[in-house]
Amino acid sequence: MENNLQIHNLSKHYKDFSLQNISIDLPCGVIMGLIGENGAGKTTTIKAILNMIKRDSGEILVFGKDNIQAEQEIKEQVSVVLDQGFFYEGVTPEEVCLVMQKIVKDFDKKKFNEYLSRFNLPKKPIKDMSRGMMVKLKLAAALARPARLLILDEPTSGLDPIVRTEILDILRDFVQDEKKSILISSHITSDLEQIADYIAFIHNGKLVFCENKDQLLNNYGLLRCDDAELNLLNKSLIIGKRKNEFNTEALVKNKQAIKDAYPQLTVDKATIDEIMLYHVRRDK
Amino acid sequence: MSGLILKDLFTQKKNLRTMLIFCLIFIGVFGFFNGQIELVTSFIIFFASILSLSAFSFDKYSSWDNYALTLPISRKTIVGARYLLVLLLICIAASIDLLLILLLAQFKTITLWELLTSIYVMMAFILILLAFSLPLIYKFGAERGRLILISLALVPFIIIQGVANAGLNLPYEQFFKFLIIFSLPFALICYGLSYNIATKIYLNKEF
Repeated sequence: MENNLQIHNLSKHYKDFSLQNISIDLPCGVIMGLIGENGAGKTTTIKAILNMIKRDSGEILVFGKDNIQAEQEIKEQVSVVLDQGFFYEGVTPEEVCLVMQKIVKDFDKKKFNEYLSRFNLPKKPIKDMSRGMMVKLKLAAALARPARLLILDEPTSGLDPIVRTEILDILRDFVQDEKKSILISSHITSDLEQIADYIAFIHNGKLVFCENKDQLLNNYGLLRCDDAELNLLNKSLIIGKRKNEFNTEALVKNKQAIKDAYPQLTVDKATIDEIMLYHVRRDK
Repeated sequence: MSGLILKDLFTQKKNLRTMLIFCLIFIGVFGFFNGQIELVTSFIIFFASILSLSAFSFDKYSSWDNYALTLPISRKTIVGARYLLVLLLICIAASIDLLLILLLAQFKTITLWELLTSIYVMMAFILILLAFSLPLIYKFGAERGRLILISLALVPFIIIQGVANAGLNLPYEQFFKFLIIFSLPFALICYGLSYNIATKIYLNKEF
């Protein structure tokens, strides 16, 4: 499968934080969710892709080309929605369109206006818009570009479920064209459970896993048992555990194998949130 | 590049309007009634430099640079557009000054040559100040940059005062003529060098 984005052993060191050996492949026609706690390294990874920060080592290829050497060529086909970073609040959508037409080759004014109508966005300045409207405006500006890769940094945080669902529908539409891909960083994992094909989990600057979402959800399970039963299991299969009043709850790998070996144990489906939570706890 | 300048003009449209109103009030009060036209012309050019600096504050407020770097524009172009905007604003201010002087000449007897010289020197002075402060703004940010600009503006006065106190016997008239004539070309050279330095700073900056 052809990849729109390939990250190999990306490292970036700061005084108090390091992104270490991140390797991710994002195939065409795929939505990948980038998850992790605040400060885990999601935005740093995105910034490295966009050459906003200088990587210390590793390689980033977008559409098969080095992201620094072919930066301008790549950016013609990459659209980005950032959590922080857009036009000044006094600017109106119409002015955004005029500027984008001058900056971006083939910026589609018609498409931009269609999105404005579809999103019911007013023609007033950004400062008079709600957060949801603002995200939609950023998205309209991103989608009106002839992009093959869409990168979104926390686009749905702080939005109500209706707006979020609307945005997720648009993202699904975007990857109908199998040459296109989306990398979306979010800590609202329920959104990613709905739309992502792959999940990449970054924790403390390291990639914990980058897996197909369905395989991930099939692989991990939540085991509810007592301590004695838990001790029966191979420790390497246990990612983390939590005791409560009645029993012990543990996140386990190889759900099916455990079910087969110990039919008496109850292994439930784990959500992405739970998978993330237990991985984070294991390290604390 | 034109897109970036357009964005700055849209961002500053309110400021530009305020500037225009202020200018009109200033022109009315000092130009027509008090006849202190040099003060008005200098003020208008100084206002343009303040607007140039505001562009950095607006960008910081909206994290514009982060967004700009996701677009197909090089870092060099981003800096270049800002340097061009500053020149544009100063030229607009100087044009307003010229129009004003020509208008005033219809009603009053004014020393045209002196006024034109004062605009010329003021443009040079502001450009030199900005040539020094813009790279510092790229390095340290808009707030500190503004302080640096104000501090730098005091330097010439300190030097003049120092020279006066030292009792140096300078060939004033010839010296000042020389200084005036070469002030703007010198300022433009400084401005060009400043652009090169600012580009280097911006190329190495992380966001």
